[in-house]
Amino acid sequence: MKVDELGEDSFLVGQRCVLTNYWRWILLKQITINPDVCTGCRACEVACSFAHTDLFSPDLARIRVAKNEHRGLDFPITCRMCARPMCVEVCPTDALARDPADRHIMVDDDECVGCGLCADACPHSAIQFHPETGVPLICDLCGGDPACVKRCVLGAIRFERNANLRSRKRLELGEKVTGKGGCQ
Amino acid sequence: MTDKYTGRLLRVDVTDRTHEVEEIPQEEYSKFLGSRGLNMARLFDELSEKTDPMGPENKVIFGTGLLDGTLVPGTRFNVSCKSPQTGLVGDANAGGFFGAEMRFAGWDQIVIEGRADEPVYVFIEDDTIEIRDAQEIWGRDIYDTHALIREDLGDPDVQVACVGPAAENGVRYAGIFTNLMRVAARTGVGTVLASKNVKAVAIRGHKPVGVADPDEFRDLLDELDEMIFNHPDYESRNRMGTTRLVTALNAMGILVTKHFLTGVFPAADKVSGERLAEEFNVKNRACFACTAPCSRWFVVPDGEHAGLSAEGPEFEPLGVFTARLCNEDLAAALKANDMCNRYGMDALTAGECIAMLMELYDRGMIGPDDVDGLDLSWGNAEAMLTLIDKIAHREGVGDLLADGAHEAAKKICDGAEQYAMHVKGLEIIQGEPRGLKGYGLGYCVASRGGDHLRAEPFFEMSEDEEESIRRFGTPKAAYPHEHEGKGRLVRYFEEWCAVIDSLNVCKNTAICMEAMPFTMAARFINAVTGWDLTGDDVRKAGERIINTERAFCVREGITREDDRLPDRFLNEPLPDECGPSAGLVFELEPMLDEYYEDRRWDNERGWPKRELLDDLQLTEIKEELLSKGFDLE
Repeated sequence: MKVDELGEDSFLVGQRCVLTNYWRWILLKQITINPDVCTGCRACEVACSFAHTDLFSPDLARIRVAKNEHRGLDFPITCRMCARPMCVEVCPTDALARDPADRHIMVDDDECVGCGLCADACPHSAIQFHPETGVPLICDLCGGDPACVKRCVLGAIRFERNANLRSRKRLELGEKVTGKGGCQ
Repeated sequence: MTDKYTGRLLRVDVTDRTHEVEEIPQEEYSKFLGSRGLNMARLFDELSEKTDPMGPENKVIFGTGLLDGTLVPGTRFNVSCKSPQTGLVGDANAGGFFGAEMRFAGWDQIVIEGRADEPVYVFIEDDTIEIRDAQEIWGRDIYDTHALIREDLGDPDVQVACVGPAAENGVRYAGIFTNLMRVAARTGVGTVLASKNVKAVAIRGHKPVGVADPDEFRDLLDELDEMIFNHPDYESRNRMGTTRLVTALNAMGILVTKHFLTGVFPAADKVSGERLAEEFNVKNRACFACTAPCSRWFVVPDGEHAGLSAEGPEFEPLGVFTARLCNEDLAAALKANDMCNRYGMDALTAGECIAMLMELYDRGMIGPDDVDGLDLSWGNAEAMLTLIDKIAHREGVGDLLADGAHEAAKKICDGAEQYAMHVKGLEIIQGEPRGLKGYGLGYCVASRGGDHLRAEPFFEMSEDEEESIRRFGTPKAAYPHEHEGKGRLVRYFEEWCAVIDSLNVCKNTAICMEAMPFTMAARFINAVTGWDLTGDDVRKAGERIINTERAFCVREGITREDDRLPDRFLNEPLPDECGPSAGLVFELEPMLDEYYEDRRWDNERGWPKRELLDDLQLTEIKEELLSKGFDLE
């Protein structure tokens, strides 16, 4: 989306990045992550590549799981749909843009030169490159029904409003701090 | 629909540090279905009765299957060689992520041959093969080895299959470990890899895995999901994995306790899967793409071993290090398993060795002087941990035990051999054969010795009479205490296991949760390859694999005499305290008769008949046996 296409309820963040009305976005869903229950199985990776390409390949996936086996750590990483997406900001060819409808990052394969600045700029390393074309692979939410989420049996990744995750976290924290809670 | 068959074999000779690529003909692949099946065909073909398991002429074959790397839950890999423990089929598989990575690298089989002049590891990234120096890594434990190799290659996503100090020291039952704690444990496959001076095979793959018919594949995944998610065991498997069996088998009076002297462990509650889940477990973990994540990450909360954390354990090591030795200390059992994992050896065999020693000690056949001054009273957890250390380093009495219970019993004292609980040199697992007749028969005839994973005839606990009559001609096959019908039952399940191992699917879901019957396996194979196999074709391939393994064993001199359990199971009834299983013994002969007849093996010697081998298109195997003087019927 270009600056001159800005609607009334949109505003500018940083130099170039367009953020449409954040209040409306609160109602939109995104992929949320709870590493505490992730089994590290990586089904999300191949579910992603199979949904997009009919091939099973972690290298073609838009979600990856970072693992530290010595510590039992499993951490799924995908696009967090930043309020101010650095990947879009740094792109020298304007190949990246935000979809105003569901706010995923769109990649224009023709404009992209495969320089990799977007991946360097991404604060949580959620971008890898297509092994053949070199263009960035960024989560597109599968049009609103993410394949990775459907394959995650314990709910380590969910498709939900960010606010829902925040509510659950608050509750978890409250329970942890107060023990069982309740009027005893 | 396009043909997505790849069928590539990589042969690495570590003696002269060369490698070559071979194509696996489709015809051979469809006959043996991949992985275990193809490995077995190659073992028979490329090794002989003269092959020394520890010599450079032995081969270690890694195999992946057609479903590895896909969304089929929990795919695995197989490792095969001639076993230094049994001298027969050495074969073990493991879950985790190595199998998928090997398939992404584009290899169906990797054969490691020869012997390197100094420690090396093999690094494979797609079509690039490197033999790398491992002198700095040699001697390090499994955990360090994973870390050091990933550091050396600068890539934490590299999958490592490695051996530990136990293998290097020649412990005959060392395994090949991946993802730290996933292990191809049995039959000493790690010992053989170490004998080649190969510390590890590290692999990284970037090739996509395609399927011939993606839509059909999606439908099949949906069907598979339905079978798994709706299974009554799903929840308890998620919560406890196989450790749920401690309580279940104890209630049936068949939890192997006190070295098979009884089937009830009074302290079972203290070491149960339930207690583990309640007090130790932190979260679930899973193999590649698994939808039934049965593995668990645990932390020991307090006591001597506080802070110990790892993945697992499975039922077998848990049961072996608790009930089998009468050890009531759960944390100590977890420590024992952790030590076996770090040293890189088979916890089951190690546990049996210790249990045998404890029984000999209890009987007064050996004393403290024979066991380096240790007090080997039943349940002494400290002695258990000390012995694991000694075995891994081959120190003192550990040097004897490092050769396995069967070999150790020959040397430790007179009359000890009857107390080594093994079949064909492989120690029996943690399931009581007197109360699980089908499982027991499975141990007797398994090509790799006293193990349940060649047959896994869980159906005998189903009480489903109707299905039992349909499949096995008698309602009795559906009851664990009955011996009738078990020959046919074991044959059926052996063939099913051979198919599932060849596709490298997990037996927990595919077989125990009945998620992948023969017809479903066939449809999956067809969806991947574009072939046109039926359920019957697939079952026949399973039968072909079993007979190839049997032929390998026959060539080594195995006959009916060897298809037996130790005398304890045939002559000593389970004691009264075993409740529903009290008084049972194992009826070997009638079960073997039924099994051989159904298998079309000759009753006297247990050799496959000529017409059977012809029928299975195993003519070359028949010719080989005939040429070696085996006058098959």
